[in-house]
Amino acid sequence: MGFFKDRYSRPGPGIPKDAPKKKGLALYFEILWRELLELVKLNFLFLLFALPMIIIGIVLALSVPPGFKLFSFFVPLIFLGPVVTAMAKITSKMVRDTNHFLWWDFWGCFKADFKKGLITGLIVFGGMLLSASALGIYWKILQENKLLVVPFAIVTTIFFVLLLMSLYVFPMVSTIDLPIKLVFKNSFILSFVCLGYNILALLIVAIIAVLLLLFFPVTTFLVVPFFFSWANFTTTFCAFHGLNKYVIQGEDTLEKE
Amino acid sequence: MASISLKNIYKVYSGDVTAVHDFNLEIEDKEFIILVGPSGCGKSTTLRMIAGLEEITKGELYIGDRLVNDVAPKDRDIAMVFQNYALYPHMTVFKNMAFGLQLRKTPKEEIKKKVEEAAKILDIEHLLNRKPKALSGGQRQRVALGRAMVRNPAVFLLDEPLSNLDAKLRTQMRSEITKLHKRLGTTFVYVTHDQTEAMTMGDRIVVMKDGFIQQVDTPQKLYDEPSNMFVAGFIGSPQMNFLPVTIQKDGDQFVAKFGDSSIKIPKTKAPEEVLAPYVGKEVILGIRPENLHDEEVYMGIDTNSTIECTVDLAELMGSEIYLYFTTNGTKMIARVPPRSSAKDGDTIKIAIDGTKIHLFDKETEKTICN
Repeated sequence: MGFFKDRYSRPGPGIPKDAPKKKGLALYFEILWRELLELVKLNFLFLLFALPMIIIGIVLALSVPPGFKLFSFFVPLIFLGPVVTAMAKITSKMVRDTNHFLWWDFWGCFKADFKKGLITGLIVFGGMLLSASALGIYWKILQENKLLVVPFAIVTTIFFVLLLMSLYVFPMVSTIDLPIKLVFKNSFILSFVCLGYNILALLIVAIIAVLLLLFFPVTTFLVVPFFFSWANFTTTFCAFHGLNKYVIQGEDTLEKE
Repeated sequence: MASISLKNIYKVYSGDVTAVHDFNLEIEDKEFIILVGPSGCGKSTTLRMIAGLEEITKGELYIGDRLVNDVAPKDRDIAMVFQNYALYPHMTVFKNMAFGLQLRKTPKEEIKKKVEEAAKILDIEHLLNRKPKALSGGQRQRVALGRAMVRNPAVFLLDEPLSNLDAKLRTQMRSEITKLHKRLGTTFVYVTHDQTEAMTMGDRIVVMKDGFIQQVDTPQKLYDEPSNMFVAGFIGSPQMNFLPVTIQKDGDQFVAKFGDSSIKIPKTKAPEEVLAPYVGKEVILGIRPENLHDEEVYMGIDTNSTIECTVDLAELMGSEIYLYFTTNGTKMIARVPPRSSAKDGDTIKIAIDGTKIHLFDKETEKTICN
């Protein structure tokens, strides 16, 4: 107790009320450092809820012929919409610097937005899975038949648009009370209006994901406690740049707590 | 909201060490009462007995109409603010303030409402998502206050909450706590060793020494009418001057003699039957520094007496000067206006305002007259 006593009893620098707010990377790292432990807990919570779908995916992958294993593994994951929405609820609160009760907010959002989250997940993840699969098929055929370059380009575009939209749909479903149609419309627009931020966020997450995969299984200790919640936090942080500017405006916007 | 009644309270530790002796006190509902005294006088022990953190050896404690001797602290409807804040370092300010309510299974919406309300009153809304280690001492103390406030207790217990703060912050927080008391209208029991805090904040002050109550009174009455030498010396800064004198009677005029000097005791000070037993005996004369004057205008006043002395040190305080001087071997302090020309080593005349003297029995140290 004496070892820690001085560390805990020494007064801090204090936080002035009207201190200028940090922006950009400085704010990102400030929040990340402050919420590190909460992100670890959130990651475990996410994995707990995602576990059934992961197990189903593994079982499916093991029971189908070799060419279909990857596709079969990802099929159940398109039902993770409600879990990702709940996770986005927590990371949205972190980004907006409001208090959250980890379990209560996560479970509350999972229940309250289950239907919306599920539909959103099916559209976004299902669309990404189908377009990614088509991408793979078209790529193979493209080597022999150059005429398929147009559908290949279309499918690639659909994949990337859905990927960009995924940054916005889940934070919006969890945070703002809007019809699904409007959620997708806003996400589509924001995907292009804030293209720079979106690509930056996806690049950062992609680079880290690739590094983790390259050094797997050594990097398991990073993936299991941290990767998914961190990725969600990073993408939500970038998304809120656009959401605050263009969507959450004044009292007309119905914002859920 | 509740009154507190302490009846014949004793606290005896093993080894027969009595920390609190026969403590009797009635605290009114909504009152701001202060327990003040030097270190080891039993004030914190008394507070902890009210909180339930110390067992009462003997006596009865009532909060409202309820006898709470054997009631657990969590069921006494009290909230405590500690000297070292006692915030949970791993929790945000919001969660620190919400913790007590969470333990009571309060609905989350209600927790949020209460915490945000308290944060608004204490002006710490911008800190809700921060952890204690980033906060200054004053901010931490406000969080500790907020944690107590959200529980809406019947009684607030504050154990030297400003001791760890610097002087400037202490002055600021003092007024904030006073305003908070007025706003909440709850009973406050406040422990401090700082008599300035006691004088400026309390409705009534309980002065303690060695486990005994010395006097319970309003700040002004404690200052003007101390019941004994300890209270007289403890309350007031700089401390009251004490001078050993001999009471003599010159015709029908009582005088206090010391060395070659004498101080007239005005007839209005005390009836003859009170002073007569002390004629020829040594008593202690007390006079506060602000009732000693070096200005000419005071020398001629009938009720004043004049003594000659040598200035040891003139301490410039800005708005006043403290003159440290010696008279008849006794060191004294006078608080004089800043325009005084007295300097170190000067021989000056000091007028003692006779209407403001206090006399104390030398043996019992009790007040003879104020």
